[in-house]
Amino acid sequence: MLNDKELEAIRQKMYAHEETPPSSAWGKIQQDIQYKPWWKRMPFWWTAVFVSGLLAVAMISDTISEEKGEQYLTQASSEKIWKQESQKKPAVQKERLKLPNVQSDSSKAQKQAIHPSESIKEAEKGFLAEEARIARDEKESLTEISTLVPEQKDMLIKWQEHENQVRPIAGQKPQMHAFFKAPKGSLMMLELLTNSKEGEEGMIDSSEKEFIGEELNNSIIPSREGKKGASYVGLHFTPQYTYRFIVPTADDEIYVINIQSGNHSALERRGYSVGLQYGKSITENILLETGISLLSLSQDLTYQYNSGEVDTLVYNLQEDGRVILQPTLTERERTLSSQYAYGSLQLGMQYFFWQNQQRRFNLYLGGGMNLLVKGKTKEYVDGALIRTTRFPSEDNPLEQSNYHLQIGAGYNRKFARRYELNVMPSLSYFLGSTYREREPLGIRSYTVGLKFQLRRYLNSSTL
Amino acid sequence: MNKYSEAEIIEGCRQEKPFFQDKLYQLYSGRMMAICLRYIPSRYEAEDVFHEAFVKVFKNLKHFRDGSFEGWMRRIFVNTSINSYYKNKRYKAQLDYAELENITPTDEDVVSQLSSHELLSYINRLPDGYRIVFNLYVIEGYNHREIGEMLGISEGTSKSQMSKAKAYLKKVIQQNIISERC
Repeated sequence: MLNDKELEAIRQKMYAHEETPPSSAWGKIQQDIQYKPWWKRMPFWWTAVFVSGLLAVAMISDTISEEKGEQYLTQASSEKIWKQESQKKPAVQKERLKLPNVQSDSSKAQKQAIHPSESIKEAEKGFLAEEARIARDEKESLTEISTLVPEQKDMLIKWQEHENQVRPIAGQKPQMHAFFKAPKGSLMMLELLTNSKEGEEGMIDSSEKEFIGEELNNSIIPSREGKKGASYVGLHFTPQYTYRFIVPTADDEIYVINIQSGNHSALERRGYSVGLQYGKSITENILLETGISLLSLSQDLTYQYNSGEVDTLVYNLQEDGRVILQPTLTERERTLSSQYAYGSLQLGMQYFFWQNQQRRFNLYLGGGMNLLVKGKTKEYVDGALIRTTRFPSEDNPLEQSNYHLQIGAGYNRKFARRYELNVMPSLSYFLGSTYREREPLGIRSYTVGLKFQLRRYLNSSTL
Repeated sequence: MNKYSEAEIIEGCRQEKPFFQDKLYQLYSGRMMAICLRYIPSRYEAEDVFHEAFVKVFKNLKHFRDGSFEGWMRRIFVNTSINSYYKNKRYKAQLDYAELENITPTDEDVVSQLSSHELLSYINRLPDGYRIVFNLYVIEGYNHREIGEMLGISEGTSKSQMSKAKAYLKKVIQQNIISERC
């Protein structure tokens, strides 16, 4: 037994003994001790949920605003057409006031129309008031032109040139103004085109109708017709986080005692995916997409096991003289820390719904075949680094291949004539196990990510 | 060369100044890592405990008043290591090592020939219960009553464990020295 002198020697040596901490230790400690604003303290997946929630609220608000805007402009445009008519042809207007489709705050004039027996003096007072209102609107419309986007300004300039050539008579502007003020792609624009009657005074005539139709086909306003056959190329980036199931395989004599799930929010499990896609719509709602991607994943696994080796044998002498042997098996702790880069070939289908000219929602189902491009696993036993395995091996480059399935639900927004942005939370499940050939248990990974895809349509008229 | 006193470094850390936090870490990280490895032989687990305990030190600096700062830090690291051990390891029934201790050690002074790294490796070969009591009694300087309170065992059990740890450690060291000589 150690004597006091030896114990004191041990104490002095061990009290001053130092060991080197890991090089990354201080950085991690700093992250935990430094004050962070609340938005930096949120773990990765909470951040993803928060961003997704914000996007969902923005999408819903955007959709509701569009619908309200269309309703407003439908009413406002109808008012303006009526005002234009009353300015040009007061005498005719008196008769037209009888028509039932006169709307909104023209209730007084409407009453006049219904009761033509009222004095002309009263009607003239009403028209004078309307003239003043039209003058105010004209002034307002001039200032609002500056708010138009460049494409709309181009169209306005073209229209003004057309006006000067074909019909140098003022009076069409309010109607065309309604055309430019209506939301891009809204049904209001098409209504102006399709519902106006040729030859009707104050309404769009055939040349103007032809002009508007031509601009619609060539402009930023997408047509709902001809979506079938639309094709695009896309670029995506998906930040993601890896989780995994443990699948035991009991073909050998290693007995796993305990598996540590580790830190569920470990930053080491972050990964990403980036790639190129080509897609083509086969119907107005269904689109097929294929592409290639690069996936980066990280995993870690720690478990305790014993391999049947006897560490200690305890002899117990019984009263009857028998000796009972009690073996204590050797327990070890093994850690596998891995990083992978996969090349992936993907194929999927998108189904679009709740769509209008500006935005649409989609559901996605697809899958992919993955080939490991580069990977390494660091193996630790009882805390000591034993080996680093790099794969795929030169003998068998295909040893690490697997497949995955992917589902998602996303939001798509069109902009700048030929582009569309897709934001889609997605879930991918990997069918193969990277460790199946060499470990006593397999790992099935799944990732949760937020996909950002930018699509460029190859033919704008089919968007 | 360190231009700042320990009190200045501690005050700077209380004000959450990264410069002084870094200084504190550089001063004590080596010894604290050694404490973790003495209680937890698994390096991977010891690094986790090292991280957890250092974060506790920085976050609880406001509670340190007077006395030995290093002693205060050591207590945090020792307690965190012991808590981690009991949290992660299954309870193992105390085995009877009496038969293994029948070898009579010689009086030869074997400790003086060993480096601290070698001593650490031998200490880590002790069974878990022996190792914790040995570390707490011999190196940290706790008495058996305090050890009993920390580990939830009786004072007598602590003494018994300590006695067995000394005998076992002596045996292990002697066996290795003999085999090296051979």
